[in-house]
Amino acid sequence: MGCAWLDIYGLILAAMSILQPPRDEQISAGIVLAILAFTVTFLVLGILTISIKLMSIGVSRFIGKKKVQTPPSTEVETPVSVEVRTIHEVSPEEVAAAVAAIHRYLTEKTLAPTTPKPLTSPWVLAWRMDACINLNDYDYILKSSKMRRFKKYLI
Amino acid sequence: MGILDAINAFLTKSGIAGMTPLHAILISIGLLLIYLAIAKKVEPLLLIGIGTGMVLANIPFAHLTFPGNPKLGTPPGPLFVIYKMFIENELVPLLIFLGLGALTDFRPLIAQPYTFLLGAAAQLGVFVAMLGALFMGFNLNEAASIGIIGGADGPTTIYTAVQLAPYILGPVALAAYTYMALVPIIQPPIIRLLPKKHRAVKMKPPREVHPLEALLFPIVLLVIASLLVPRATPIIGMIALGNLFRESGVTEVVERLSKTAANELMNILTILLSVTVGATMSVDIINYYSTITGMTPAEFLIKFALIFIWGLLAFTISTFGGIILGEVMYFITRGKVNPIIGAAGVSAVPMSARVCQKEAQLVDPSNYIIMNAMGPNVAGVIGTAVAAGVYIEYVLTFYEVHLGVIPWRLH
Repeated sequence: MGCAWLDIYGLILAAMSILQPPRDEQISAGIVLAILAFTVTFLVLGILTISIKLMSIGVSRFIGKKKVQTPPSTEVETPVSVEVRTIHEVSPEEVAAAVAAIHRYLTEKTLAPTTPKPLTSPWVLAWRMDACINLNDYDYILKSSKMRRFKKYLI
Repeated sequence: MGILDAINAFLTKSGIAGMTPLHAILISIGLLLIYLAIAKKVEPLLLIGIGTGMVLANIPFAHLTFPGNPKLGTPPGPLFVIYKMFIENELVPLLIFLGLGALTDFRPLIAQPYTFLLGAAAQLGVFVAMLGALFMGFNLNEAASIGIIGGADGPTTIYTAVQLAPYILGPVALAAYTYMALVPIIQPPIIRLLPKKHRAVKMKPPREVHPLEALLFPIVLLVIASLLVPRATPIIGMIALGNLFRESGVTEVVERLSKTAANELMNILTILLSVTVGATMSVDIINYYSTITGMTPAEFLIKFALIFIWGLLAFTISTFGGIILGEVMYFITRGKVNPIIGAAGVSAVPMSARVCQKEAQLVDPSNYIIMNAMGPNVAGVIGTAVAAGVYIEYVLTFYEVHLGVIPWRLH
């Protein structure tokens, strides 16, 4: 069979050949690479942290300056008098009425909505849909004397 | 020629007659991936394509990934042509970064720039797994490609593997996407190692970011990261361009370019990428690369299994790295940083941020840290890109200096 390489012995041999550590220079290069990549990643992201922070500070100052530079409005601000309402006493009857009203409101709100009665019978509706699809039939229906009495349903 | 001879000739040319155990194994894996994608919802957007690509490419005599033979005038198979045109020259992974940039909102990161460091710490698995694979016996280029799985960023993994070890692109990409889908299973046990008190920390929601900051961010990112690590420029540049489309504020650009990059283009590229990556795990491609690198099909299968083991370890160690720095930040800030958000530094946007949120709510249901976790989450994408840039630069230089050539590029 042309797949002799896939027997167990072949797989073991393949595993053995893979699991043999590569040359020393590859391992030493790998260690250097790991340290280098770790350092560079932290360094670059650290620099980005500082840069983005500085950018944010710069933008907030720029926006602040822009806000200061806007000319003051010429309109004279008039103080708005605020009326302080006195809290009036609520009688127990008023509370009871409010509770009853809220209860009624919630009951009515939770009721299932009623479905409106259809204005057109289903067969007329189907007829209209069919008429929309096939205009020739629709014309025929409009022109035929027998169907003329149904014209009012069609438009 | 009698009818029996004709039937016999027909049967010998059928796929069943040409089926070898390797074909059968690879087709079975492809079918398993399709099942996982559809029934278990494991990265369905990618695994359906990868699984189908694997099945298609391994149908005997269909030769969809046949490299072609110019001497005999045999043309290459369609999937091989797509692989050569779109994947091997890194076109599709780079365009995917454009879409990712257009999709990603960097505001949580801009609001909390210190989370960049969590994104860097969560690359720990990238370095440790690379060393582990190297000591186990993988070559430096293969070990670097395997290590990048720990970054939990699919397109970066594909980009690195294409540059450093295209012959193991399929298993590496598959491991990356599988573990990204398994984030909700892998990360929680590691996060729960943190003390309950630390996990219950409520963080301030990130501040509102001014549109000008969001606009300047991709430009600052592009200039700084590209100048420091030029090899990462294609990845960072595309992310920055996509994000610039998004944040430009120009209605035409946002409505047309940004939306196209994030939706239609991204979807087309996902189809191309997934099917072609699946097709690289085919007998034809293994044979094609075995003539260049000397790797036998049996070795490929062993490496396939080992890559999955190292991928899982890389992912786990990266999560550890993130939460260790999160814990350090917890102590430095005297309990203002929830260390869980460190786990989100392993990219896998937005899955790992969601896992952090879920874990925080397990301790305190009123705790919302998802927006805080999105900072390290998107920082992880940049961290993985930087690490990939360093790996590519160093490994290619190593082979050029020691061997004078880059073996897997000799075709």
